[in-house]
Amino acid sequence: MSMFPSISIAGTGLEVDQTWIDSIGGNVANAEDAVTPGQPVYREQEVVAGASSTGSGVALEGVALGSSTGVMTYDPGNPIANKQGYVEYPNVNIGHEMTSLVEAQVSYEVDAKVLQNSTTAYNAILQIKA
Amino acid sequence: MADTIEAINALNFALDAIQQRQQVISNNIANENTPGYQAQVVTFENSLAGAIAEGGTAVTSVTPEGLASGVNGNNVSLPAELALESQTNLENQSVANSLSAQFAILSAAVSG
Repeated sequence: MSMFPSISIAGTGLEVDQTWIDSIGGNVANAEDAVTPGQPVYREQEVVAGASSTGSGVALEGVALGSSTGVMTYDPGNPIANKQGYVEYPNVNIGHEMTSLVEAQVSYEVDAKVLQNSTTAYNAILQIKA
Repeated sequence: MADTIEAINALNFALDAIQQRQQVISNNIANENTPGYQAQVVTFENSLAGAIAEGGTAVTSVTPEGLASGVNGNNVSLPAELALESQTNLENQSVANSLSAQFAILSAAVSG
């Protein structure tokens, strides 16, 4: 535990939020990655977080992958379409991604605010003098 | 001078407890989206008031907040935590100021 624990706790929150935002970015960027059916399709990434066992913030537990089965879309003009004229899109729901992004952004802002406030509070203590 | 030292001891205890509260609030906010996380609260005011009035030792306790959980089993209320954080910061500032004031009194008494 650091000398100024509130600051490091808020830091763990910022780290997890950053990873969360990055994964959403990856999901949105790859949402339209069509493949020929049967080829591996992009899988949605979902960050899994858990309370840090030491009671000192939040920790990244891993990244859960979404469905490996994509969404079949009839697009016979597409050069990568199969014989039946289908291509496979990743199972990424943009609505869900956007909602998560708002949550992650609020979480990031709040953790940044806590970090800033903690600094002010510790400063008040450092100014105690006889 | 004994009064001043007593006041310093009480303020010192309060400052420690406030620090702990701040840490718990930071932890609650960091876990705002953690599935299954249960918010905690720090209480010390009544215990400290009792110790000052009747003698004895004050204690700081960390207990579950006990609010109803949402769909993911998490019960952190962000507005409540933010309000408490602001309040705790001001308390921290005022206790720190009071400590400085008490130290000034002590210092004046010591140097005559």
